[in-house]
Amino acid sequence: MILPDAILAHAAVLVVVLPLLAAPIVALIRDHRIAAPLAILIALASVVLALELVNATWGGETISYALGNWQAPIGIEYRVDLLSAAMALLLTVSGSLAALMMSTAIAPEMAPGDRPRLYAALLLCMSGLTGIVVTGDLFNVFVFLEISSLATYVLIASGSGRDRRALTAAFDYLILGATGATFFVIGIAFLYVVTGTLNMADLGERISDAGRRAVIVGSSFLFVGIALKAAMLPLHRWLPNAYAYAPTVMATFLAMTATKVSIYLMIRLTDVVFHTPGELGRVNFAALMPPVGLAMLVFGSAIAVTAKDLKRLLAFSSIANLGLMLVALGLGGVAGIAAAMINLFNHAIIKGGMFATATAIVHRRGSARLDAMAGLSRQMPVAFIFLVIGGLALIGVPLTAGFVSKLSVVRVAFDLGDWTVAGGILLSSLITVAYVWRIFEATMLAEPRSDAPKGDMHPAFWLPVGLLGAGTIVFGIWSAPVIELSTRIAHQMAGVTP
Amino acid sequence: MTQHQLMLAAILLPFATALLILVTGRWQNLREAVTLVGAAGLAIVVFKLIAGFDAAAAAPLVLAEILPGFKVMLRAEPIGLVFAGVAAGLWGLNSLYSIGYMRAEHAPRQTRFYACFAVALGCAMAIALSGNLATLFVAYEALTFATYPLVVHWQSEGAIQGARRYLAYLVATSLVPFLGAIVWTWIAAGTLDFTPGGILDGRLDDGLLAVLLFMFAYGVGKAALMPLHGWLPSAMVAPTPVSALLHAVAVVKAGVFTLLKIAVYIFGIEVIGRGVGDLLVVVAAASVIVASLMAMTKDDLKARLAYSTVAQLAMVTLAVALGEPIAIAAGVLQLVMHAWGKITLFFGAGAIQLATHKKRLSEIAGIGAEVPLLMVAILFGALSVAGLPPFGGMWPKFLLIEAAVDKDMTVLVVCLGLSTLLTLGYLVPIVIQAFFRAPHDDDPHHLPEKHHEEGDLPILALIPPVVTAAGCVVLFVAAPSILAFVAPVIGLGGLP
Repeated sequence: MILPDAILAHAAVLVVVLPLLAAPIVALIRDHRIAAPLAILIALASVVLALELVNATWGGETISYALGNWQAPIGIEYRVDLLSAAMALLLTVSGSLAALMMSTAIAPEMAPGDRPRLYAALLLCMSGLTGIVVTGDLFNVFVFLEISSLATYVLIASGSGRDRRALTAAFDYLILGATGATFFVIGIAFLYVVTGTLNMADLGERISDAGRRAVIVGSSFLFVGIALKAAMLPLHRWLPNAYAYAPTVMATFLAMTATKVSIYLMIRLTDVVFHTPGELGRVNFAALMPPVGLAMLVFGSAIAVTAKDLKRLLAFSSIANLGLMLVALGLGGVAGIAAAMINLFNHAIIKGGMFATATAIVHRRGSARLDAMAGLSRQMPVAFIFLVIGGLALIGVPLTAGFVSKLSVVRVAFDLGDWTVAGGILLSSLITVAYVWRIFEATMLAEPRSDAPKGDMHPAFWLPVGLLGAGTIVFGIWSAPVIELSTRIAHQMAGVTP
Repeated sequence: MTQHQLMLAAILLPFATALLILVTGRWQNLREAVTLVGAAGLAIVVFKLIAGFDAAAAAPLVLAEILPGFKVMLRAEPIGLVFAGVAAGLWGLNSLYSIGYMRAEHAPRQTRFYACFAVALGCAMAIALSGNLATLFVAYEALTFATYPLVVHWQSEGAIQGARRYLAYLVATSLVPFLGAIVWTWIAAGTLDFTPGGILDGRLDDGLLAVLLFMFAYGVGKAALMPLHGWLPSAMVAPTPVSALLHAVAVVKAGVFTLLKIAVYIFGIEVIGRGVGDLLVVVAAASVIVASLMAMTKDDLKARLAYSTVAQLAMVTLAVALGEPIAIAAGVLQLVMHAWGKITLFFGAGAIQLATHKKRLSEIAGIGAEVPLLMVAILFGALSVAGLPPFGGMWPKFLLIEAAVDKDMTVLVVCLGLSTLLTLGYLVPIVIQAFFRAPHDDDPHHLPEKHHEEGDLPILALIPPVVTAAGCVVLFVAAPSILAFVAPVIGLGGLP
């Protein structure tokens, strides 16, 4: 594409290292008016690198990059296939959109001198998450998990300028996140002891000869660690507070990325750890996913109905949507993985759009409480329209990306003759209608407050909100790009040539 | 213009009208002129579609593919064109009435009202012209959401509650049984295209087909088959023009139209007729009778009309369930005739309210002298809905009875006869009350010192019911040509 070959050859590592190295520089810049553009620039450069990776892996190729030229399995290998590349693209695009909004969004709640450090945390978080998806080394995954988690704690805690409860939310996540990471690293240790390797591809080959019990224990620890990060029921309790109290612009980034990376890990490790062939008598984690996923769908939606705050409502809605992805994963096969990926991408767009709109609303009105949104439809008509678009997509109304997501899972369930799952998903849309309608009634029907601040969205939000809103509609009508990408990924993961 | 261009124009014109309404919202007269021009334009486009329809040249027009195999596709066919004609034809009249009514009521949020109305019409056109079940579902859902702001229009506590019920019923039925049935059909038949003769024969056994038919009958909540009819009376919280066009014509007729399409092009008429629809016949017939009985108990005029609509819609479901060409013909005619009859009645009920501020049957005693022309129009509408000659409403009742006789269903024949009596029983009292009862003196709402006159009634609220009442008579004569138009696709040989 547009980059010189010298950079192209290292794109797999640059996409991680560039924001990682830029983060401290951004943090050291005192003037936030210089730090913000620099952070945006770095994030956008990462998007270009990620695009390059997608381009290079589109046909089914795998890029293997030996870090420091130490060959795997001794050295750390970055291994980029289409799944990794697509995830990297999602992460960097989300990071860029958040970066574009952040300086305006954060202005009312944070002192200018503190802002560069927040921008640095965003870059670090993005870098850590990207590292997880491009590395081929299991221990390296843990390292990046920690980098991204530490940055996430900062992102959440920095919401304390608006609401002090952000500190407890961050602390909560710190404790749970650390527990999850511990589980994860213990799992790695077990697997390392019995296989002698940390390279995931290598591990996949050796694991069938390894001792059965150790593998079961190891993969169970791994699974719990990931499940916690994925907010899988009943390990979800960190998520609502984290999303609700983080600065809305950072919640936008987290909603688009954090749990998605855990879903990525499940897909990746399903391939190399959980689904190992042979006489293993492995624990069947896949069978766990449809029931847990359905429970999350119902539970998340039901709590969302009672939420009094838009961000909280969206957070519980995210739990429900993660449930849908797990259901799709659990159904398995090429179609199941494809459906999970379709949901992953579409949900990032839809929920990102809603959180971005919420960012604009909070920026203007200072609150995300539903009862403070009376009259929004007339006072901020543009923001209201984007809320409607996102809300309809969450319900799964046709011509939105949400319909494509839901229909793809229902179709797989019907194909497999799994009536419970199909019926459960369809029924859960009803609860979705209930909570989405609370947003509409609060913004459209309630008597407007006369003291509400005047003016629609700040222009800084136009591009992110507009892009995500347009994506919600466009990918609902012209779904071919997302479906093609997801299907290719699924074929690659299942080892089937399309 | 080619047929494809006309189809696109029919769908896009109302949406373009809605945009223009939003833009011109500040200038009331201009905004309403936009509505009227849009309605006239749509009527012309649909007329050209019908006039130029050529079954041999009706090629599908694929617009998008939402999932592989789940296409958005248009295709003109006679039943859809009939529905489009009814909805487009009545939009103009209803817009005139809306202008009279909304101005007289000094209603707020009129720009939103007219814009949503135009969008709803666009959705109805997309339903009418859909070429497969996927497209129909997309437009059907869009129609639900587009009409929500209209139902909730007054934004009073009652309106919000009513609109919630409206939405809950329609979304719940469409997202669970309807979408479920569509995906099931998709997987069983491998396609969702509307194909003459159906796509399901031999794909599922008859027991499962009966289940699927029930999923469709209840999934299409807009057809208001009992006991899932509750949204329709709730929707009466809307301003009367909304009740008139949407809850007598566009929305509810979209429901029964969907059932007709499914019968003719998804199941195939013969498939339903060989026993698949038998249980649905019973449910639909019961719905006709029970809803008629409930209508008699309602004092509120609009509630009475709503239950009457439930009963009359069930007749179309009944026609579908019988699975006979002649019954389907009755269903198509019922779609047309009931639309014209019931919109007359709703116009009438709204006009009574405008002229006399009365909404209840018990209050309107003696108003016949004040609004004679209006009451005659209401009488025409009532007789047509009941199915008496010389009104269009006679034809569907007549053909349904003929179908029931053909199938040797004596009980059903009795039911249908009874339903006509019941219909007269709950509609004619409106006219009797108005003309032949003296006003009660003890009526607290009655203010003897203020005498109402037809002059109080905006002329725009009076002309439309008179025109639609006259239309009911014209349709009596025009029915055979409608039948001839749809006969080829439903396999109706000689005209009865």
